[in-house]
Amino acid sequence: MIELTGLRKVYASPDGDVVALDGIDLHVERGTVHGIVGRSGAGKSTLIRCLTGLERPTSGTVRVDGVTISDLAESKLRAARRRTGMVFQHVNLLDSRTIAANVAYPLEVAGVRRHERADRVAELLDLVGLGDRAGAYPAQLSGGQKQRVGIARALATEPGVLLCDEPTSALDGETTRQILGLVRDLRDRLGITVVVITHEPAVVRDVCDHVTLLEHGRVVQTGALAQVVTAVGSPLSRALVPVPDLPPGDRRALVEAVFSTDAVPTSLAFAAVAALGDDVEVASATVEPLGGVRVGRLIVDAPTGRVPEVVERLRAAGLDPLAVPTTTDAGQEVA
Amino acid sequence: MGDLWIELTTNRVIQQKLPEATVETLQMVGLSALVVLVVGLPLGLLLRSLASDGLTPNRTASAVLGFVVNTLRALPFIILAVAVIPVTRAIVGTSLGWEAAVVPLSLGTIPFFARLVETAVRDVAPGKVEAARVMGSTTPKILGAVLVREALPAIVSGFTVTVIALIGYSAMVGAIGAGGLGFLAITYGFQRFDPTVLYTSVVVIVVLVTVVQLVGDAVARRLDHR
Repeated sequence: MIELTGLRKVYASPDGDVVALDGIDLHVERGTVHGIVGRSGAGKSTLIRCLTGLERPTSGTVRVDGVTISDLAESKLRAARRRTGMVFQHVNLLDSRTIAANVAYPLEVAGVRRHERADRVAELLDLVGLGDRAGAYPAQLSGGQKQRVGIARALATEPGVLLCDEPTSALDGETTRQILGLVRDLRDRLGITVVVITHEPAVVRDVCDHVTLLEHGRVVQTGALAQVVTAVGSPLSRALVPVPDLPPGDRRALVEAVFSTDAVPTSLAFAAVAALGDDVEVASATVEPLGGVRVGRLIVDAPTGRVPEVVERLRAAGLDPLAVPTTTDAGQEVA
Repeated sequence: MGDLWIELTTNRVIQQKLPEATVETLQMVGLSALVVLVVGLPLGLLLRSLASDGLTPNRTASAVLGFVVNTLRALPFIILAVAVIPVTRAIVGTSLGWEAAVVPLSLGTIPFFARLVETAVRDVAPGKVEAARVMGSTTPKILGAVLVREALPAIVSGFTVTVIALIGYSAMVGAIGAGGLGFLAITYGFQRFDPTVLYTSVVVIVVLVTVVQLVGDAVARRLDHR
């Protein structure tokens, strides 16, 4: 559905060139929800701007739904944009229009007739659960309701792709869950392909099938959610299944282990650690529900001399262990 | 109070000249306001669009247009009004009467209104323009449906201020032969020393300004849904 090949974007600045995207290759399958995570400045926003054609790549190609966006002339690009819906962090509704008129806007732009517009708008507002608020103005809605209108507007022209730029970063926890539930539901019902840019691990855990980590304009890790989180020691497993910070104090040596409850039940994972004896203990641990299974991460504290043995025995128990240098911030979030 | 009423109802200048002068003022302000709206609104949008963060950035055009607008705004109005007399003669055929006054009045307030439009439109959140772009809008659609419509309450407030400035300027051009309430106040009220005519003219001008302000505020409020 979306195919990025060797995507590079370089901005000229007085202090020399700034490389925002440095050779991105990425494939997003039809009907999936693909998360793109990374620190601010990693290139996430530039990437989404390239997907909408608001930004032209310095080199490389952007193909969306079989159309090479990066080659199109401006007039063709306008038509192509109507096949992509976009949801913004700050929603960007027009304050002077009712929410029905906001949802109608992309239909006006696409030249849809007035009476067809009215039918389609009513349908879209029902889809996002705001059928009874058609005549309200954005100022009269809560943050979560505004984002629902933003989603309805993005879906107005029946796009194949929905791009979401930090869609829940301005919302509280409960509203975030509702909006993500809506996105997942729309994907299931409409078969739409969704790209979500976010810095919130919870968004990726709740809604994404695939996830890509960007750093300094490059892809650091990418793959199916279940795979990337169970890759022990990987930045995404640390970011998406964060363990609580380790308590301060003297450490001996740390072993990090990742397991998925479909292979190793939680009780067996802890029993494997318990069997190692009194001088080995769990320093920090978490178990997160992720895509139907639960994924656990343990940080085990052991005497330095026993590390190879601990690794060996945890592996035998079906966990995926990795000795980590004590100086690392194994418990910190990466993304 | 009784004396004032008798004076007002018997003063021949007020009886004979005031209604006519009021109509002249309304005519010159009304027509000028129309010209200012028709020319100033697009000019304000153009100023905004040519800016470096506008829809169609152009550094040279922006600088030239900005210079012309600033120059016209820097001239004291009464100097401008006298200086454009040849232009007025060329356009209207005469430099006297309310029709002739429309030329200096429009020229004097178009740059002012254009700057107010530019400021109002600049305050529209850039995210709204970006969203409109992503939805495939053409530049004219963004100008009309997003920038002008979203800034409309502020544009209406700016137009109200502009019309009030026009009423003030119309009294000034009265002094150089345009007629209207300003002419009445200066010739009959000041030069012939008839305080009743002077203050009555002033009261009518105050009433006009008040009505314009109230109507402008009401319209702006109706349009504002933030």
